[in-house]
Amino acid sequence: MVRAEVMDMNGPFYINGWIGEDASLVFALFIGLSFGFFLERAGLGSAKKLAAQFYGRDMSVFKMMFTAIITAMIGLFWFNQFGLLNIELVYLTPTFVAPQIIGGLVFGVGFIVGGYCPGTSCVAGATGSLDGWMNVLGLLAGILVFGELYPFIKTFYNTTPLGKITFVDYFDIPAGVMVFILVLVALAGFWASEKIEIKTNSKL
Amino acid sequence: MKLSLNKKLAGLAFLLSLLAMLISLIFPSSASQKRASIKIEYLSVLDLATEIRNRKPVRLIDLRDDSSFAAFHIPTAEPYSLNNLQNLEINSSIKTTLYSDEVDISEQAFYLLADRGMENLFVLNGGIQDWYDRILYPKMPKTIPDNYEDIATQIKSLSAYFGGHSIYVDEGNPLNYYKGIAESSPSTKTKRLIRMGC
Repeated sequence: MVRAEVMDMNGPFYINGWIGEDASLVFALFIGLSFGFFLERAGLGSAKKLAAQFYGRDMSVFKMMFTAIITAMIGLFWFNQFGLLNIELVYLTPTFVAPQIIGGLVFGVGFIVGGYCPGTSCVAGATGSLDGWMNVLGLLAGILVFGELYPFIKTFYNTTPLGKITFVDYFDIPAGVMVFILVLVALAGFWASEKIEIKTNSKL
Repeated sequence: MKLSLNKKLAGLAFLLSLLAMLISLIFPSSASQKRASIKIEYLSVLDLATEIRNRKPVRLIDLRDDSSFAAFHIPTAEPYSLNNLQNLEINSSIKTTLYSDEVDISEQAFYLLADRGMENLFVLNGGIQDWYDRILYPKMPKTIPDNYEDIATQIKSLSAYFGGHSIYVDEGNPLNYYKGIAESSPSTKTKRLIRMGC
């Protein structure tokens, strides 16, 4: 009786026992390679294209990232709604406000100085770009330094915790309303980013 | 006017999100919101240790891997992984507590079992690490303050019962941890443990 309740194949596949640890690694490899492939095909293996984002000349990064966010969000909402995925079982990174703001700033400075974010530096490295490889080395060095410094920054690392929280929890609004608001913000952002591109490029 | 593919996809996203909003507003008691209403209940290591020692009927589920379980586990625990948790018999008549070395895993298991209708279910606050640090090898101040004598006696007794011993420290008063549990009880059951370690 109990087993019958869980016989519907639904996600997350690993947690629900539909795939084992080995298969989950194969899935991860396939998804990772696909992610890298599409990043490269979108032109995000080029530091020039990535840096152009910060000067308003080419807003591809913003458009690509926001497209990925709303596509995943709409997919998760509807899969959850139809019982194909249990959203509560999907891993959520806990929020720590102050350390994540500082981390975001460090990330942003590294992005604009190096010309890549971690994923795109690997993509650039895979295409043979030397500056891509330098960024990958910098990324690994950063992980090492962070690991060594962790005992000294542990207290700050754990400050201002909000737990595993989403906008839906924080603002206490229905999930569908949040989906609609974010899609509206994304569409307005796409429209504005195209205007910014036209305006900036017309000055060149 | 012919729309570009990008604009058609943007229109599709708009429609799907509009429908999402309408469904959320019209059917507020949908399955997803029912799941969101499930609140995790937490059990402190102090309460668990006391219950085991007093031979209360408790069922303990260890969600770590087999080698970790073989190396060390809380007495009476049964090993289960998230993957084979669906084989666990649903029995709400006995208090069941989930623990792991990662709180996330226990919480995921909680949702998985609660979704199947299991009640009387708890997550061990602090997991196996708190069991080790707070029950098996608890830290004690060298001089026990007057109003901490009862809790210190209780912890020393529990530690000895489970085969551990107290570790005496010079600085601070580690017994505040247990006072915090006692003073906030039973609300500790709903306290969300944020994160352990890196």
